[in-house]
Amino acid sequence: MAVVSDIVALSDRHRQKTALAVGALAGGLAIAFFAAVGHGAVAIAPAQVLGILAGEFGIELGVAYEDVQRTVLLSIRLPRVCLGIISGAALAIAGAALQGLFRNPLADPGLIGVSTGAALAAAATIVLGTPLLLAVPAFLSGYVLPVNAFAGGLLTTFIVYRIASNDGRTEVTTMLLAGVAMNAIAAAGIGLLVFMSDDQQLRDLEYWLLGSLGGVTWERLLPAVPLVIAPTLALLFASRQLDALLLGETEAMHLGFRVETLKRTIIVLAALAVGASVALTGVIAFVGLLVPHLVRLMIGPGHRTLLPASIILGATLLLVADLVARTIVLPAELPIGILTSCLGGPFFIWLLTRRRHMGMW
Amino acid sequence: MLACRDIELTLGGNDILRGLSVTVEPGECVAVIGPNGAGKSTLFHVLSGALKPDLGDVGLDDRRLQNWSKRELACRRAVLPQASLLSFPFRVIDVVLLGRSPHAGRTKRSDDVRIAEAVLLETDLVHLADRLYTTLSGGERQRVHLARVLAQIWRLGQSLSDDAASYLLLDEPTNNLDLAHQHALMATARRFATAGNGVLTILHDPNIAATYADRLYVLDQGRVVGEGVPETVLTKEMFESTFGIPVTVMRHPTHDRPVMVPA
Repeated sequence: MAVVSDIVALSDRHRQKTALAVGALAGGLAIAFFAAVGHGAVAIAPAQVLGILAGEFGIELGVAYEDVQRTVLLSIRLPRVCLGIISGAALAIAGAALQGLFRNPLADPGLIGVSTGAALAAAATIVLGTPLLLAVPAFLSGYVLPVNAFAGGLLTTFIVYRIASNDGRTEVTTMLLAGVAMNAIAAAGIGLLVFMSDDQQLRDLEYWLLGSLGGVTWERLLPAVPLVIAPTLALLFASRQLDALLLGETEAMHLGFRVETLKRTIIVLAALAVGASVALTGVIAFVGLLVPHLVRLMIGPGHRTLLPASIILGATLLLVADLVARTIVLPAELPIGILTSCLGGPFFIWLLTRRRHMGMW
Repeated sequence: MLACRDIELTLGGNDILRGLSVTVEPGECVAVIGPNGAGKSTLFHVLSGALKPDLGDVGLDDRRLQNWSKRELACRRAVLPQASLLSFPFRVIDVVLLGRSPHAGRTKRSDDVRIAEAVLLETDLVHLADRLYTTLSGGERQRVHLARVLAQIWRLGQSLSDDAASYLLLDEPTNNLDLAHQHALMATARRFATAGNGVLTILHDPNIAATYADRLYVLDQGRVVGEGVPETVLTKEMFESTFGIPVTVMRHPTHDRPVMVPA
């Protein structure tokens, strides 16, 4: 029957187009990676990057490089780029998952309170935390801020979640509103701490509240890596569930999903991923909101491709933003959050004005 | 058999359902009619498992709904809501394939696509398969969701025994549809039942119910006030006492089922 082959062909064509788009995104990430590790005061060509990395694994590629290039790549650029990749990926997939959960394309990781909660805890640590810093052993003092921020983010999400839950059921609309309210409360707290802070604390605060990938070392990065990556990868397995949730919670239940467990799981995973990444980088706005939108424009709203593609594009976007942030005002560094917001904001507005033409949302 | 027995349910202090029982056998198309506020939608949600009754049991094949795993139940029973919340720009074909999600990992992807094909043909939507859902009219969207829920419980080819019959629950499915598509939708439901499955549908139009249903339930104030084949249920007296409207009931000139017109 001719019609049958039409639908099969249609379905195949969609899959090919999607595969092509995801391939292009992956290529983009590779380019961004080499640009990010290669660019800066010490330039390193892509071939040299490969040569140095292969050399670390005992493989000689025969590419000439200097020792200083090796040191810069391995101790400075690579941890920074790895941080950019995992936090961009975490923010983007958490944004995509929460937009699916709330059936609202305007949801972003900030809405469940995790970012502002983490920011409040970080601000409190910076301004009031000196006694705490003195109390912990010196080799742990570098972890106090990220651990507090992580805990603060999770605690805020937990409160938002409790407010919206009743009798084992979670009202996602109530959760959205509770998130907005908690954000306002946390913002007031942060404002108060800013008011109380001295000059040095104010600089630290600003740096943290606007986000930065700078100054990261392997020692600080590695303990947090599994905390960011595990929930990020786990969310990839929620694609069928998130697709079903877009139909509505009752419909998802009729499709055989355990909706309450599902909602809880997605919220916990998103909060873990964002909490751990914000603890390392500070608040980086707009990535979680913007990236899933771009991906939907390219390949549609199905989560089976939206989630992995968001990971790739989120990582790429953060690498590029960081590259610009650390080269545009040399020798200083622009906080990356300023960049993501001032590029993301106008771009998002442009998207909003275009959406009707494209039949989106 | 899909059945509920002696269901009682109170919502916000109001008795919505007061001890009613409904059954759907394999191979039959059952319609539920009744005035606004009679409890039709509540009954529908109880039968679908979305609402738990205060008293009484709901069961599929003599097993209570809560003893089914959600996924097994989803493979046997599909539910078409009055309206959907979907607002993301999926292609129509992908919305239909969402219906196959309870079968993920159990059926081949190529079979899922063939099933999507079959239900698109059944619902006359093949020409819209590549359209964005968000660009469709309300009636077209409703038909896409019918295709989706059909895909959920559709079988390719093989005949079925009674204890593998699937059940389709439709909540006022003809809302938003033009005249031709109202009848096309009910004809689809009718064919699905004739193939050995059970269909239960809430309807407002008694003439459509009379044309397509094997059996009717009339609900009023949370009770079943009439039950049986259209000829015995759709009487002048029933319309006047339950719906409070004077009517004339006639025989349809070709298919001999009752037809009602306001007097």
